[in-house]
Amino acid sequence: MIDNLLLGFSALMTPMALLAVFAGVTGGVIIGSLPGLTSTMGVALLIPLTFSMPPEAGLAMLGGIYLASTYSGSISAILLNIPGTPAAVATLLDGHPMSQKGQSMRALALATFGSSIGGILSVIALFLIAPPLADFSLKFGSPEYFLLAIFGITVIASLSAGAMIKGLIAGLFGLLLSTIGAHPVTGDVRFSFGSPILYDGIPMVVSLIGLYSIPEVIAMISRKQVKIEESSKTPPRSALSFLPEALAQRVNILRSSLIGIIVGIIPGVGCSVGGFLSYDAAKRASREPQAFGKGSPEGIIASETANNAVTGGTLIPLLTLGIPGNPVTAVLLGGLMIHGLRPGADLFTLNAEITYGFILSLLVANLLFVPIGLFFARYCAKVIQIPTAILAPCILALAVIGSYSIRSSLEDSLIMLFMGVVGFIMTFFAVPRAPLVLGLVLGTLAESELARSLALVQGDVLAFATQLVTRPICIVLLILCAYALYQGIVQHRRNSNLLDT
Amino acid sequence: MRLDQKRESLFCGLAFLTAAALILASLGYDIESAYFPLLLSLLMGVLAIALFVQTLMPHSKETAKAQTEAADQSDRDQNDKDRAVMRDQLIGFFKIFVAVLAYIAGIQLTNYTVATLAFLILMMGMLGTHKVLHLALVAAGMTALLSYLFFTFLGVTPPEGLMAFG
Repeated sequence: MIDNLLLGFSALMTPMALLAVFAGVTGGVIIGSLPGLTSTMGVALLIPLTFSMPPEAGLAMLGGIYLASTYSGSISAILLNIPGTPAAVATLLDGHPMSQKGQSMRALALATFGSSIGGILSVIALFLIAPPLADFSLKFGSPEYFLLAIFGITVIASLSAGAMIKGLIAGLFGLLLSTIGAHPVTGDVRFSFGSPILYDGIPMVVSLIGLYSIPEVIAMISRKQVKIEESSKTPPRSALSFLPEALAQRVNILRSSLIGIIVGIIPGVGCSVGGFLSYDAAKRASREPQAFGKGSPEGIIASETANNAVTGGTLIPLLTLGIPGNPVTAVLLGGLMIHGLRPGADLFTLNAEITYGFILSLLVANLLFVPIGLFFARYCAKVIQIPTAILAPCILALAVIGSYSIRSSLEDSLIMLFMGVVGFIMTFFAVPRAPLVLGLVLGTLAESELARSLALVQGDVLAFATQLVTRPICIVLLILCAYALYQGIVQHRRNSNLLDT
Repeated sequence: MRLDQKRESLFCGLAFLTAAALILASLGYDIESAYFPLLLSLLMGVLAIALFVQTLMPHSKETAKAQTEAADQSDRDQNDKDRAVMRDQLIGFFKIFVAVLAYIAGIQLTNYTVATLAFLILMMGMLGTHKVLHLALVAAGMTALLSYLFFTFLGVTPPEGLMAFG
């Protein structure tokens, strides 16, 4: 393991890789603090930029965007009472009241240090848990991989906020979109409508750009922009002077990190849930629970530490089993694939240099967003005021040129637009997009492993079904799929009962 | 039928039609290559029907509550608001769809620089920026930035327009 770490360290210590981390963190801080721009959209839009970079630099940049944008949602939450990302909603409860008391820098510093420590602890967990889990994945055969793909989609669909059937339909549609192009075993081209550009299927990155940029821009221009007043002027006190106050909350930080990591490992739960769970745990454990909601430093640290600890947690199932825990990691999986990397044991052995370089880059990113975030916070109010009329066309131009750049084809820009239409229809009908993304990402894996499994039993469906119920890992996965669906049904019933009462 | 029910029913219809179209298309391929999409489409069609049934048969209390509320003025106001939001979303969608389509066609017809400048200026103007200096500066800056990032820094070949402007 030490050898692999050294390999990763040498891969990271190149000017290109370090510059990529810096650019990713800076971009992530800006994207996360702009309300309406999500981490997913940021990562999706910037994947084309990493296309021609070396994999370690490209992944370092994407990782930097992910971590920094998760953290920086807190900046606008604290200063302006607007969470830049859903992850920062719990931070808003105490961050803004503290800011209103004229302690903006204190709130920002506590949020930043909490995020950084939570992020670092989660990367350590990733480093310790991922390699053995990846080794375990060697025991997986085709039927297990097929069920793993199905499990990923089932979990996300069942957690689709009380819209399980819609989530399942979205997941199925994503799987169907992934079947466009050549069959992984027979090579027959399907649903291409005679267009050679579709022979290789719908390019994943292009789809993700469309799914996440077009609907966001439509939402942006459909709502009126509100003039934001800064709640208080940033006081001159140095942010570093609040570091001892943050470090004094060791128990809170450790508890919140643990909650964040566990929440991250469970697919589909997400940063905002992690933030709320640890906020609640901190409130229960606090000697001053009455201070929560009125500018409690414990509340800020709990939610920020947890939501950044989620980031490392989500990468554990992603890098080891190829199961993305949330839309951002689904997009990151696309980023891994365009660099020719496949999650699993190979990532930690054959591609150890790139993988460990990526993990170390996350550590660097977690440290780097402290100075960048605190510096940016001073100018945040002005940047956030960029009018929609300027921001929206710039995002669209970036989306069109970004999707063109993947294969130097304007037809890809048209595919991006088509996926944008799909994304809009989904948001219009309140259908979650995450299951579709997962279906799209995991579809090829599901179909190819199903085809291989069937080929191994000479197409005998009964023999394949017998395999599914006799192989130990398959049984566990089937139970997990059933449990996920059961949970979805229970949640749906609970929502219906709430409506009834 | 309430507005949200209408919307759900419309979604079910769309999902069912998509599933039906995909089933028909799948039948045109060799079964060895088409069983997976065929199975998925069938499942999607079944789920669309299930969602439609669920939409039409809400819980009895909910129905009663909805019927009582239907008469309520505030509920009607909420429906009007929802309609207005939906209208704004559809108008926004139409604007963006046409603008992006025109932009892609513009790149194909002219070249990247001309089309991007024109797209940014027209789009910003349409969305409410009327200061000419702002328009020109942002459009030129963004066009140059994207050009540098993709065509110089990353070495992507710029799109070739039918009419070459250089």
